[in-house]
Amino acid sequence: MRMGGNMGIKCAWIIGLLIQMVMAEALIDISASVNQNKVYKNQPIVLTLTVSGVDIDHYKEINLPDVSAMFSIQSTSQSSSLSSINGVVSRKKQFRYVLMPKKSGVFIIDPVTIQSKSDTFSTQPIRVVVREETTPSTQSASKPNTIPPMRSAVQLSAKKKAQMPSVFLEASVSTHNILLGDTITYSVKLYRRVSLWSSITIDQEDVPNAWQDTLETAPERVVQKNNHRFYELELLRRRIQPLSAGEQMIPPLTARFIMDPFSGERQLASLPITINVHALPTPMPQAFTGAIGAFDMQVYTPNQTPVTDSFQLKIIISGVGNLNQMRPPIIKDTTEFRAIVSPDSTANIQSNTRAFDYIIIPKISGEITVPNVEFSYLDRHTMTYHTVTSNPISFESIIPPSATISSSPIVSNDIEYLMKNGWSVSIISGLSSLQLRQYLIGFVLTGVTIWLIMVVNPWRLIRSSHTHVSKKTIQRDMARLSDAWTIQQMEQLLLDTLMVYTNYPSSHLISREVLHALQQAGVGDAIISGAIQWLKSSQQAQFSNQQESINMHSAADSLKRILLAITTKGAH
Amino acid sequence: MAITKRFLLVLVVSSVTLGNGEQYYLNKQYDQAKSTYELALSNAPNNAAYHYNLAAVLYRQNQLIPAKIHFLESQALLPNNVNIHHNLSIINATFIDKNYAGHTPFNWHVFGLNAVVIQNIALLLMSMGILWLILRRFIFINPYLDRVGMLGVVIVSIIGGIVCIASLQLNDYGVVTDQKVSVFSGPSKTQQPLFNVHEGAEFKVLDMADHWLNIQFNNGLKGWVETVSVHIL
Repeated sequence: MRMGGNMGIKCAWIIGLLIQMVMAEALIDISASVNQNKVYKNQPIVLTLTVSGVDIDHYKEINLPDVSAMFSIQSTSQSSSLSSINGVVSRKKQFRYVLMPKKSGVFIIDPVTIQSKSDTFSTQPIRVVVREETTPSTQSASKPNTIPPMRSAVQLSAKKKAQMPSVFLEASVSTHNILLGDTITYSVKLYRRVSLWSSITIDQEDVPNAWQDTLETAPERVVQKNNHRFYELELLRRRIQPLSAGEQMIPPLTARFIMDPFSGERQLASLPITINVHALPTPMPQAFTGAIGAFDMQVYTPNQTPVTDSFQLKIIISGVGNLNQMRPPIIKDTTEFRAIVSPDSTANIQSNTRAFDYIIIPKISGEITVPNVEFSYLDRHTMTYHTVTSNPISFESIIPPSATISSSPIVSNDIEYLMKNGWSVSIISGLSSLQLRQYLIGFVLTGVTIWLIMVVNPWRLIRSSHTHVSKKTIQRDMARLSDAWTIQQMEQLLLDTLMVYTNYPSSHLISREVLHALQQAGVGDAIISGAIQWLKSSQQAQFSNQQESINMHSAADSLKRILLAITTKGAH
Repeated sequence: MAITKRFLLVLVVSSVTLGNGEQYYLNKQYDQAKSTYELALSNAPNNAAYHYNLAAVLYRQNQLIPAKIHFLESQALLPNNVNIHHNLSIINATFIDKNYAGHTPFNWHVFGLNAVVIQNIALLLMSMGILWLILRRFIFINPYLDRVGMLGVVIVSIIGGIVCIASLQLNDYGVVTDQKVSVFSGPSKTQQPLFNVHEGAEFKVLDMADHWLNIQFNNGLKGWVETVSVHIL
């Protein structure tokens, strides 16, 4: 029985331990590590603190040991992950600290402690050895996300060469001092020691006040840089020709790419480069067309036979210098001929020559002489101008008679004198105005619209809808018409009758309109004459201020007869 | 009133500037003469004499393409002027593409009057006819005259309508201004280049698309050119 009791106690103790272990494991697990235990003085160390477990959110704080005497903290970052294994969910958090040693020696990083609700967890101490010597080039960090996001490593100095990053840009120019009219070659290269996750996007502002040509870039290659192997990729290559003297700044180029899917997009920028553009020495000869270097000139005339309307001439410039940038030698027009240079001429780099084609168009018939062609260039070594001169060229010109009025001396082939601004020219000028045309079109359209409105007369259509009432009223008034009516009342009755029974357009009695309306209504001539006469008499009586009974009597009777004729004819 | 004032101002300015321009020209002060005639043209852009004289000044300054353009503008206003023909023939002789010069097939005129003048005359007559139609409703007119007037209105309307419709069919024409221009088979540089023409060549505009023109030269050749290389008259 005692042995059974002892066994029971032991089993309970073991079970308790196991439970505690499980419980402990179910809470938090913490560990610390460094990427390297032995580093050089200028080499950073990455201290990684890993906290894992089910309950990692329930810790109070992380207590870091004081390392300020040994290291300086360059940067910190953290990440977290979640995993589920056999139904058991666990979480892990990692804290990374980039430490830079301040001095050489052997150092102990004290344990990192973390306090949860009821317990304190700590890591093991870490021993780090920092050596005095520095490496020729050191890798800044092995983990991509500990590399600083912005590095402008261009034209590395000796100091910077000691810390060679894994990716950097380098911009360069062929020369920092050029003459105005000369060109430089600008190149930006990307050096990398790691693979990139994405393609590279570049962006750069245009160089102000300069011609620019984009040139073909070199393919990617492997190079040795400071005893390290790099992949060199030329991102941009340009030929730049400044257009004015002075300091010219080439703006930085920005390259964006993704190193790995966890760190996001990175951006690198090259440093701006300043070049000095020196003005050309003065005075410049008239024959100078921008050529800088050392050159010679030959003039060729392939066709020596008598020409009809044009003559071809070729000038070949040979030598070393800015062949592509120079302008053609000048051949000035004269009273005898006109010289046109072909816009198409390119340099032949292999033979160091450039050919310019000209067409000489004679203005007169006969022997024409193209005077000496001069070509000046600037020797960049002596900074002096040199001029090369050709021999004059003569050729025979025959111009067809249809081209000019006559082929006699130049005077008769000149343009006619100025034109006088006479009255005919002024009239034509006024009539040629497009603005006048617009005004006239507007006037015509407006006039046609008004005329159509007058012809259609919509008011008449409105009035005709009340014909039934008006006709009754008119007939009633006709029956009531007597000498007692005033002239105005009689005129109003006449007007109403005309408006209802004829196409009388006006709202007033107008003799001409009355005549037209009655004619259109088919009223007899006698009635029409009577109506016109009655109208005149009534207007006279109205303005005379005298009302004679005899006149009024005849006015009412006359009007009755007239109205009867109108209503009889117009009632259809 | 404002129009009358402007008309008088133009008359005064033109008389002064033309006199000065002639003086500058005689004294070979071509820059001043050019400025004078350009000022005159800004006030009266349809004056043939101004275009002609400015062209003469530009010719003296050896600016042959601008000179030709202004001579052509002057010729559009006075199609039968002999002096303009003479000067154009002298200028055309200095260009490479002589076969493409001479735009007579493209210049539409009747009795020496250009299309715009004829249109404006027709519109003036139509306006007078409309005025007469409106006024006859208020003024008594002899019936015989009334009938004659109505007949005249009908005839003028028909002729005016025909003139306006016919003039709509006229093409624009222009001149090549660049030294050498490639003519393509379509309105894009990716199309096949057909041939090259040089400055001074005259053409008729058939169609337009974006900044390209479909043109035809007087020898029948057609193609597309960029508008930046040419000038439309």
